[in-house]
Amino acid sequence: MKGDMGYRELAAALAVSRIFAETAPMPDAYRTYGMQRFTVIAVSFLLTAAVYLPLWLAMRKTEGGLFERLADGNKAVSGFAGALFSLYLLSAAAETGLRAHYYTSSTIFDSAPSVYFYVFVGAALIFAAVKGEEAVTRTAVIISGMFLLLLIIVTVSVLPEADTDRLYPAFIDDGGSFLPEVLREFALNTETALFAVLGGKVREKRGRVIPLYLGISCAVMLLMTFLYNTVFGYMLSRLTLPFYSLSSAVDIKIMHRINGIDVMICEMAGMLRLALIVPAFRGTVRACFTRGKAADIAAVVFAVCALGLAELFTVYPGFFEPMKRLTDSGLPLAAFTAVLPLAALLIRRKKA
Amino acid sequence: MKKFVMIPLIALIAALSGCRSHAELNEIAIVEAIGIDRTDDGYTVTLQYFNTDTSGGTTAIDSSQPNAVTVSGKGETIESALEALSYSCGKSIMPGSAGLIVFGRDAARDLMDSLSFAMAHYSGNPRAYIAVSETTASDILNVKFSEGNASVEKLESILRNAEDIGLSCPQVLHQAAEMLCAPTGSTVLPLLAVSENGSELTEEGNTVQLTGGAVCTADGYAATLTPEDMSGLLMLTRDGCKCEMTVICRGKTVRVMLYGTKARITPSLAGGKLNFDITVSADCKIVSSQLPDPYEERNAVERLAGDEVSRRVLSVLRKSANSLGADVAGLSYKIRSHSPALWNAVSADYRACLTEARFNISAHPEMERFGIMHG
Amino acid sequence: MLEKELEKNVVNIRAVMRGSSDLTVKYAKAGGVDICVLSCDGQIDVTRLAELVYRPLSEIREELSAERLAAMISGELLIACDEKPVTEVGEVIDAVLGGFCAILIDGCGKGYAVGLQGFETRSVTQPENHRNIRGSREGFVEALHINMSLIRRRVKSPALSFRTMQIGGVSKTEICVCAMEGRTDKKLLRTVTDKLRHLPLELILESGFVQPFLEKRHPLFSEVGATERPDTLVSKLYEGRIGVIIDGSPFALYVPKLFSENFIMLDDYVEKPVFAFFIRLIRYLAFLIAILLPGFYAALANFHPELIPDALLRNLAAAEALTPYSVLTECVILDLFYEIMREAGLRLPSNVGHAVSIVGGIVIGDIVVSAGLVGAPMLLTIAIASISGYIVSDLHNQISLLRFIFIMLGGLFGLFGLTVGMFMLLISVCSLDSYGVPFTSPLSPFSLKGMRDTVLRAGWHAMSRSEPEIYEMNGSEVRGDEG
Repeated sequence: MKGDMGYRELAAALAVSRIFAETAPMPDAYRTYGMQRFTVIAVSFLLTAAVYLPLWLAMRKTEGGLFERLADGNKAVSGFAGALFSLYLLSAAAETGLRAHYYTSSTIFDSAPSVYFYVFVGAALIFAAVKGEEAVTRTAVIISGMFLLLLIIVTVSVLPEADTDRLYPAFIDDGGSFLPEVLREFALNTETALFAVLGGKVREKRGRVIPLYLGISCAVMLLMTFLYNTVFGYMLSRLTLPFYSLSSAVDIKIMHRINGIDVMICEMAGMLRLALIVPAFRGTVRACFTRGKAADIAAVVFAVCALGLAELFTVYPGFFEPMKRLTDSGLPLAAFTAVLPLAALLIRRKKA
Repeated sequence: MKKFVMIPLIALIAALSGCRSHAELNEIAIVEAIGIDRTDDGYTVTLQYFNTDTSGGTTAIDSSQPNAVTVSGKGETIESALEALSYSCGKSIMPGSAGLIVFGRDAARDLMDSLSFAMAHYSGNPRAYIAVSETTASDILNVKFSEGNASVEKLESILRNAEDIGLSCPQVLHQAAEMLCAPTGSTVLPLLAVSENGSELTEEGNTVQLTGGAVCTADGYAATLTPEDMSGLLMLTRDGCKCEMTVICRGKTVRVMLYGTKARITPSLAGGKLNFDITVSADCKIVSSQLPDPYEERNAVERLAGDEVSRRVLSVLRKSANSLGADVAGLSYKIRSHSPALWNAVSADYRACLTEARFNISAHPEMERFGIMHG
Repeated sequence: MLEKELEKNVVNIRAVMRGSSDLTVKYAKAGGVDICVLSCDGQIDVTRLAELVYRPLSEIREELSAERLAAMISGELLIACDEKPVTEVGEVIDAVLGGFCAILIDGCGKGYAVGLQGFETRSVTQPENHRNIRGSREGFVEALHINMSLIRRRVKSPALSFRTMQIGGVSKTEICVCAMEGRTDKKLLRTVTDKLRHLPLELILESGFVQPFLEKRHPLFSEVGATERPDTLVSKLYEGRIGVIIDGSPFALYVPKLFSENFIMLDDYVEKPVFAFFIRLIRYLAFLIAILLPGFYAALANFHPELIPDALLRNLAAAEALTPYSVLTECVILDLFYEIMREAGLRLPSNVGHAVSIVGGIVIGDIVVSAGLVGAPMLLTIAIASISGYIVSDLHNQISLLRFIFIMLGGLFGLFGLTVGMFMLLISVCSLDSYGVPFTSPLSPFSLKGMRDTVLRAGWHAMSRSEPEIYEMNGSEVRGDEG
């Protein structure tokens, strides 16, 4: 099934979605000052690229996404994989909701009740789902433009305070934490899994989506890490929202600081991430289970469940721990972007 | 179908609109400066906020009229003191707009914890200046300048100008916090004092002066740095700064200006002790002199200026690093960038290493430009 | 079918026309045969009728049969260039009401309709809404054939084709579809023509009646452009778009239209590219200011005052201290008041409109502030936003509505409300396709090539080296089933 999405739009959407995860951390996340973060990012993206190869091979010669191909080969396998993938998407959506809520309620949303956040985001999500993923990816291009502008303003403004003495020639500061950090960063690339479904709707040159996405996200995240390290130094360990703190320090004269604008753009990126996950779920249901209206209803139920879970995790953070441990290991992502495509290739070969 | 979904949604959003409480602009105390003093049973917080009642509505604020209100409140914590102030002045306090935070001499301990009220809140101003008072913060904030909205504007400009004349580097909140998060948890803040010199700028004839810097560690106000020390620190930490100094050459006074300074710090480990080779290079010129022919004496002036720079740099390092184990010059970054292995060796007990550290300082000002006239 | 007997035909026609008094029936004899000339009063040029019809017919001296006379009228006499045979009563009536005169001959079962349209029309004047500094001062008028001639005068190429058709069951309005062969996508042309042909309207008085049937049902934006300027329409046709001119309307429509075209004016092409770039940037900025500034101000003043620079914050607080209403209420009152004044001034005769603007200026500009009802900064905010709204005149209605929505969102929910509102607006705009071309292209999907005439305006040297092509913007094909 060929769609109408341009490959550049999808790449921009995925990059914006990934950068949201970088700017809006989980409530208990922390970053330490040090050069290790550069290495972690670079290695995690290399790992993602390596894991993407089987997916690329599996999607190369078929139209539609990975699950369409699986369903062609074996309905039972695709059904089972689709169910697991849906669960994975649900956890990703809940995590995104949690991040967005945490970021907003710690900043511009302050003391407002969460229910009201979820009503708004839910409304935006339903609206985006009705308008379709094509509209979402086009919106992503504009949001990525806004983010780029914000990043340029922030970079130019804080560069005079960036002390390059704070960079030092080391790649790994703490061998013990390196691997878990790499895996955690790798696991955040849910976008590759989204591509396994949404990639099927790309009009042309879909092989370029992930390389573009990886390139843009990696470059932006390295730049952000450079700014964090050189501007904040040791203080980075005490900051829960470093990008927000960075934009707080930017005075553009017509505004005293631009942290409100930063939250607005990042919040839009968060909604965009959710708006990509919901159609990915719908695509999975359509490929593996049912094609009718039931898929749309399932998507609405999915969105409601995801936001409900996000609220639950906000109130009881402990509930999220087991799920987070599993996703942080990178295993689910690797399973969906490497193992499943290999299975798809094998099934096809056997069938042939 | 879509309309049936949208109507209850819009109704719900409208109903929820009451959930978001807010204060109108005129109900907010727009805080200009915050003074924090410690007392036996907690904190005394002095606020200087903008008084909207004294201004006209249709025209811009008349900045020639003083229209700031200074109030004080007490509490066990800074937050509770702010809350008490909020009740007493009948306004919602907006500390995020504060451009200056002054700590009293006794309050300058555990600064990071004290600053958390400004750091953690989303509306906190990371560009607020931080300073320490020689006495109490309320003394500083109660000096009534006869011009301007609030004394904070004067104080801010005093701090800002200090850097230009090479007296001190103004510390803003996030810079100070960065130093407080460093391994030694110490910082240098500008030191303000009330001087009774009969100034015409204030109603009572007193004024506020920048008298140097205060080294603050976790234990509190630890050492006073003179303006010369502060210029030494400035040369160590900031490339391209300028400072003026007086040297005596052949019994005559010569005023020299250094500009474009650059410090090169090379750390090493010698005999189990940290050793820093510090080379300060700068361009300089003679601003004024009593020498009959300064041009002839330029090499001597260069040497004397170099000695003065070395003395100043050494003085600040002795007062901070050797005496207190306080790393106010960001030496830990230098060690890390020079050799991560060296850092691994000293980081476990960095403070103790600093107290025993040796500093070899050489300064080489070069007189490339002499001035408009010579000879 | 027309009867052979002349009188019966006239009676039939009178009966169908319900004896309408503007039907003029002139009996005469030509070549010894009874004839009748039917026309509609006011629809034809009577001088030309006398010159071209009455005189040649009255000059036939020899005795002729009815068939011979009919053959003479149709083949030998040079009466007018627009001439067609009519065989039905309905055809006769349509022709007569359309500005033709019908010649019916006794003993012959058919007649002839001769085009002598000569109704009163407004002369070509400068367009009211799309004024420019340099360039033609001609605007479309209500008469279709004049509008067609205004276009033809600018493109004397056979590639430009006009196809006229009648739409509207009652009004029988003539419309003209114009396109440039070789540039226009044939599928797009067919789609538009089909849509027009199957228009379910009975009465068409303005191009705005037709517009909704050519666009998607988007609540805010339209993918159909409307212009009063023949030169603008010609440039759109040259880019491969399709123009629709409707008799009785001085606004021509064209499809497809992209969002970025709202920010492009004809003057941009006569200025230096760098100035055009600057002015286009200003237009985009003005659009954002017009819809977002008051809402942003309300959000900052209510929820996020720490983002406002200190000196400005003090001024705002001082001004607000003197007013009895909250920021949001002030904002809503002023915005509504502005909209009321605009609406009042829009349709009034210019002499009264002047009075309205004086009253409005004095009341809002001075008394409202000096009486302490509204703060001066709020007044300034609304004034800047409303002036900015005038810069992008094509989007004026959308701006008014969006501004109000954003005021409510910002005032009630702060920046978070604005964020959700902006996100939904972006999704909504980006979901639009204008006949296969994304409405937001070339901004999104981004096209560097498309950008050379979007925010940027490449010089004529560069633009002349390649053909203008809207469909290259995203490479997608025109989808015929749009709408």
